[in-house]
This record gives sequence, structure tokens and C-alpha cells, in this order.
Amino acid sequence: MASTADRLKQLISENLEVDGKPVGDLGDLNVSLSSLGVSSVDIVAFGRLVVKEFNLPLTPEDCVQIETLQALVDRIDG
Amino acid sequence: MMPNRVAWWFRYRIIENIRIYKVDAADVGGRENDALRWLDQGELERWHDFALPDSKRRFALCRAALRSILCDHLGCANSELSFGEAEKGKPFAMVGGKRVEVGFNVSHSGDHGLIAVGDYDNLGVDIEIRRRRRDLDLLVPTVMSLSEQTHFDSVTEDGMKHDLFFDFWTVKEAVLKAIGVGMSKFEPSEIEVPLEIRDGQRSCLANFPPIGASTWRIEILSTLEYAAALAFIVDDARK
Repeated sequence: MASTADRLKQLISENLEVDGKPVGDLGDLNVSLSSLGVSSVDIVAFGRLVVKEFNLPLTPEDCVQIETLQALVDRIDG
Repeated sequence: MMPNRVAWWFRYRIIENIRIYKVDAADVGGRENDALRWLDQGELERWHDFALPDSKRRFALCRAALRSILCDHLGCANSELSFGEAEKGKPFAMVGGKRVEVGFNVSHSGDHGLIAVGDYDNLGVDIEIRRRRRDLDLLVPTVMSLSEQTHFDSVTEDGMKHDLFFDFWTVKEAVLKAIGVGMSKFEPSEIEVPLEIRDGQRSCLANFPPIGASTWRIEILSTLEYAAALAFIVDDARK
């Protein structure tokens, strides 16, 4: 079964956009959504996808405050 | 500000002494390097941390424009201007290390930026390029109240639904940015778009009970290309 990191990378690759352009494949998850330039509406949208994919309780505030995508992996696995 | 260069921002509206500027953050040769000369060390580090070239450029161009606009507004040199952050991260301006009373807010989406500057401490601006989203079914229940969802559901034309989503979102985001708490204290669904705006007005006074009894003014700055809104408190009941 794919690891959480791999599943999250796939979710990002298939869904995460900056101003309508796909972010694409991320090699390193030690980046924040804000450092990618993802807007708040796209962060909230991505958060909803994470909730759906990982069955994780995540509020819009949680989505904005995630420091790095690796921290999100740790939270999902925790 | 920059001899031999044309500025990439211009003033286009004044609303209640709030000056609103448009920023052209497109990739036009030389601008980003000009902009970087205006940023301080901390801002250069933020610029460096952006992972994507477009995000770097848009940050640099909007930040340098903000600096130039604030220097004009405050009558100070760029080297005297710095920024601090309030508890929830809302920035404030300082001249010579001392906080100054000026409200400002910045938003950008794609190659469009908006900067609002005025004597209102609580002012927020938001802009979003209109585009089709694949995830409206997920987003709408998350960011809209039941009343807003009813309004949204009454719209049948698909393109209008996407437009309406961004129109609503930018009002909510402008209000949340104005109070400087983002989504840390209030969820977007708690900030209900005023009925006047839902009915098509581009300006109205409004109250947002979850935030308090203050009277707000909402101004719609949208075009066919983007949704945008300005929000500011005209009667601060919290004081």
C-alpha cells in the first residue's frame, strides 16, 4: 500500500493549483502551501480533499496553519 | 521612484479616502530586479523561500509597489519604512522603528494585484481571478452559510455559479483580512455576504454579528476577469 507521503504527493499532483496552474510533482514535502504561493481559497479546497482522502478532521483554520506538507503527513500518520 | 522605468502599479479608485491601486504583476523584463532593490533583508528572505518563479515575482512586485505607495503616503524614505506583525500576523507599518497609523492591505491573484491604503485601521482587500473550479461541491458547504447556499443553488447556469462563488469568497476574505485574524477565529461561512451584494449592488453598509456590532462598508471591485472586494469598518463599536 502506498505511504501517506506518496498518497499526499499524488493528491497534490492531481489537484493542487496556484492561480489555476497545477503545482505538479513535488519531490520535497518540506515546503509550506504559502511558500508555493497557494491562495487561501485553494488551501481550503485542498484541505477538503485531504479530509475526504484521509478521513481526517481538518478545519479551514487547520488548513491555513499547516507549516509544511511533511507536518501534514506526520499529523495524518499520528 | 525608478528613473527610466514605468511603474507597474497605478491608482484607480478612491473610496472614503482609501486609495486603491492596481498592480500589474506580469512577467515583464527587468521589473522583478527593480522590485528586489526595494525590499529589506526579511522580505528578500521571504522572496527566496517561495518555491515557484511566478509566486516569487508576484510577491516582489506587490511588495515593492506597497513600499513605494506607503513611502508617498507617509512622506518617508524606503530605508525608513519597515513592517511589524500584530498577534495574528496582520502587518503594520513603522517609520524609523515607530508604528504609524495607516491601514493597508494587499492581495494578488494571477498577475493582478490590489493594494488599499487609508486611514482606516481595519481594511481588507481580496482579489481572485475568475476560473472554473472542479471542487465547488466540496467548497460551497465549507465556506457558505445555509442562506448563501440557498442563493447559490438558485443559480442554474454553471458559469454563473463559478462567478458567484468567487464574488462571495472575496467579500468574506476581505472582511477576515480587515480584522486581521484570517480563518483563525471565524470560519468563512460565519461571514455572510450582505443581501444587498447578493442582489447585485456594488456597495453597501453591513454588519457581521459574529465579529461584533461594528458597521462595515463593502465595495465590490470586480470585473469580468476577476472578483474583488474591499471591506472596512466605518463605525467601530469595539472601541
